[in-house]
Amino acid sequence: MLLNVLLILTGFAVIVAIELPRLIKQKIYREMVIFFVLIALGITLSLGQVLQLPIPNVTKGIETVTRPIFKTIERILSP
Amino acid sequence: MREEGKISAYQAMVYQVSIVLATAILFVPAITTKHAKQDAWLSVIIACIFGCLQVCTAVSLARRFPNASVVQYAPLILGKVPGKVVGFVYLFYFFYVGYFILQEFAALMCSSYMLRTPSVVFMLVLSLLAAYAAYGGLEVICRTSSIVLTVVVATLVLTAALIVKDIKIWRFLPVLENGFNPVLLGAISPGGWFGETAVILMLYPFINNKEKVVKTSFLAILILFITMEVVVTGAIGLLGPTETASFLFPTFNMARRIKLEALPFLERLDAFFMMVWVAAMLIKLTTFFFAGVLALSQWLNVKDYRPLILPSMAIMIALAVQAWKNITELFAFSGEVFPLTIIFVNFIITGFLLIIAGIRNISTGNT
Repeated sequence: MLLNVLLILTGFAVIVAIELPRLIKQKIYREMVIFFVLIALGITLSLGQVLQLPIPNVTKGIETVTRPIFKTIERILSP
Repeated sequence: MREEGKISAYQAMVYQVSIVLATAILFVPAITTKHAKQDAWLSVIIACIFGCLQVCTAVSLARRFPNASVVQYAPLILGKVPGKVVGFVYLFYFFYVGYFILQEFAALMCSSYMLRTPSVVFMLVLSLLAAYAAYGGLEVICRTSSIVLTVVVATLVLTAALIVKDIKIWRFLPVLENGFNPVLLGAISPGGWFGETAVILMLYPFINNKEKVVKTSFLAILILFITMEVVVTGAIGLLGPTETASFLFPTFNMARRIKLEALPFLERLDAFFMMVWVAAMLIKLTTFFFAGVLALSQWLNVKDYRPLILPSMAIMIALAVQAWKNITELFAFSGEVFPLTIIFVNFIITGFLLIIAGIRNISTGNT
């Protein structure tokens, strides 16, 4: 588990190392803020899964809403 | 917005075809045949009609706003806050399909080719390549996909030509055994896939000969219709409806059945098919990923989308790992939930925007 956490953090560190110098050179601070918000979101999502924290699962949400609709269509159209 | 280069209407057509083809040829036979049995070829025709309707809606909305993408003009149509919400639905849709493709790719590779490699490895490799392609920009993606698409279509034609002698017409009988309803049910899934050509909403501002878009969009639907029909009739005619529905990927089994006495080296074409399919899958992921990142940058009013590529890629992989625990869940999802959600975005929301824009008579173009 520790290894996974380290790998994920290294991955994000590489992303920051690639993009940050370019962002600083171009002095586009709005982009920089958005960039770090996205990085934070990514770290939350991936570390949350590795550490098994209760983070919301968007896909399951979509599934709970949509599946009853499909079942209804299936019932109407079944021979 | 930074100038992203211009593409021709035919390159947009290639983009529209590539965005559907890779997964459709693999998943449509099994899912459609499960419901419609031997009448799956009728389902594809119904789905094609529905697809034409969807692409009509998308193109007529895009023609009202020739110089902006749907994420940019949704606030013009609906007002600021609801417009941003709709814009977010579109951008999430692109990422949603993106991580669905990642998971599909990893599931196939893990279940039938490289059993002991963790699925995250496949996701990582594929998405890094997609990110690299997205750095190249729209023109690069369009040119690459033209090359890949040519090879994919050539392989499909070759496969079809080699199996046509083994197709048995009696496998398609009796026609409409259980009435018309199962055919409609089977048409939902390919209908959703045809609707993915609504990506023209994002591409329209970059097209330089806009007057041809209607023609090329319908041409895209026609190409997709022919390939899907070839795959579906080939699988049913060769394997029979029951067997087709029981395989996870009937198209591969179809390619595996190729046998020629005169040319023995042409057996087991599935390895070649696989190679081509991985390339097609990469293009499909790239098209969605690029559209998603572009939509994200427009949604946030950022000038350049490139700094957002790597962070959004990381989020997409995280979502893909989180979403489905195993291949059974993924398949239940792709048959029941996935088509309805993409129809919701591509047809219902797009149609809603078109109706509101029509009522309020908003348009920025002279066409």
